[in-house]
Amino acid sequence: MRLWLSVEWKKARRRRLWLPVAALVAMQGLWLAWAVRGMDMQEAAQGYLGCLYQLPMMNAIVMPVAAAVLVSRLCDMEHRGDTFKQLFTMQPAYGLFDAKLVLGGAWLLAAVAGQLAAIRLVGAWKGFSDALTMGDVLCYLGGQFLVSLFLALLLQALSLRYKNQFIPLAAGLILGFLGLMSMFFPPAVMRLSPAAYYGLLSNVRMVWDRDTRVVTYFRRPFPWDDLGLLAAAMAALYLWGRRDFVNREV
Amino acid sequence: MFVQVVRTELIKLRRAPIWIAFFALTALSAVMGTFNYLSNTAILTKQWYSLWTQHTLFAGFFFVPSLLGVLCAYLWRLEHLENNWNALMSRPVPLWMIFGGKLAVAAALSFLTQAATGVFFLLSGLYAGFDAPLPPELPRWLLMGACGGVAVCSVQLFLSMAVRSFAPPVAVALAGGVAGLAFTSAGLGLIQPYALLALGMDANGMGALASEQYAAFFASCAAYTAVPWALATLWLGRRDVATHA
Repeated sequence: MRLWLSVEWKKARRRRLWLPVAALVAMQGLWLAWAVRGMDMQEAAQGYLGCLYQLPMMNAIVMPVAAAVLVSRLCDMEHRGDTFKQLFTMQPAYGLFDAKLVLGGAWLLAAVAGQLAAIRLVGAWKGFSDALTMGDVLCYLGGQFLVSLFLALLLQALSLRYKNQFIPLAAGLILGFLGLMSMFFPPAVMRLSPAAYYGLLSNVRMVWDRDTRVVTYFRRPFPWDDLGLLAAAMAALYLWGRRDFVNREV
Repeated sequence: MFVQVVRTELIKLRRAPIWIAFFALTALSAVMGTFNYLSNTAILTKQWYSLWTQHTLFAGFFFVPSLLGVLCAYLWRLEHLENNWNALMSRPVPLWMIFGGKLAVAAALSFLTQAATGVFFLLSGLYAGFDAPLPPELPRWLLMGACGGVAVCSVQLFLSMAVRSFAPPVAVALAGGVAGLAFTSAGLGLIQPYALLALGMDANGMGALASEQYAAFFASCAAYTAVPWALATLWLGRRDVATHA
């Protein structure tokens, strides 16, 4: 696996995979800074919780597209160079599938870690007075990364299956749209949409008082049942996607 | 000759599954927006106007501009592959027509998307059983939304032509949509191309444009359509047609 990863890393050199990740984190950081620019002392007392609630919503819109862009960059080079025949004489097809998934996943993990760094920076700038606990960090990192990995897996299966990269990118956009819209529906509907798990796996919730127009954020126990559902779907998708790729005619 | 160029572009798109993505996004936006509206009629009390924001808010700001970006990337991908750049540039066609042909096809899809949005909106309103008449602003929303979409197409076509890679321009379109929301909130939507579509459609339902701003809106759309077109014509005339394998 190390060898396959090293080969993928070398193939992706100078493809500037860091660029969409850096642009994504910069955009989300700027958006957070813009959202909290007028925050008063009372709101700053739950600033970190607010960011941990809002960023998963933003992730539902942008992460499916970011994942589609990353995955398409990794897979399209094989389509354009028509390299599958040559590669499969030197490495098993499942090795190529796994290595691309690990590399894409690593960049998405970097994006989620970058989001946490952006939250910390914005918090230091605006003087958030609530605590960003280790539990918050782990819940955010683990939850947001696993959803991103699921989306990357789904989009990679499409990206390798179809030479026409319109399909995975359009799928990324539609997944983002479904994820965002389903967040306005009950959890049972949200569970049907992969990108809605960004919200489902967040450990922060909020209540809005219509009379006082005050928003209150609060922590809740990590939703292990939703994580289990996502893990089961991911395992099934991985088995299908890898098998589909391995059995295809090159 | 321009008609022939547009016809050629349409032939290149034969059997491409592009229309499915546009239809799916518009239909999903209508279905989910309608159900969300029907679940919140206690808060959303303005019938057609409330339904309109549910149908268009997120699609107008983020997803339709990005999908137009995917379409534009696809239109140029055909030329970036194999030795098609050489074939394209050796045809006896003026340079402005090469870009213009692709822009015409993308613009047609922008108008068709708006037409589908209008049809789905009408059907959803009938399903919801509204007793109020249709908003008289609807044709204007759709027309201005389509014009905003054409501006997005021109910018995206230029990016996709210059970048010569499929995915990055799509990321730019999404980032542009997010930035467009911030520009609109700051009252600067008219100077940002990706905000024009949602602004024209009045997607946030707040009467974003006063009637005296319509001329500025169409001028902005025309500028963001014409400038990338002119730049692309210059670019095509000066750059080497190096192809990528």
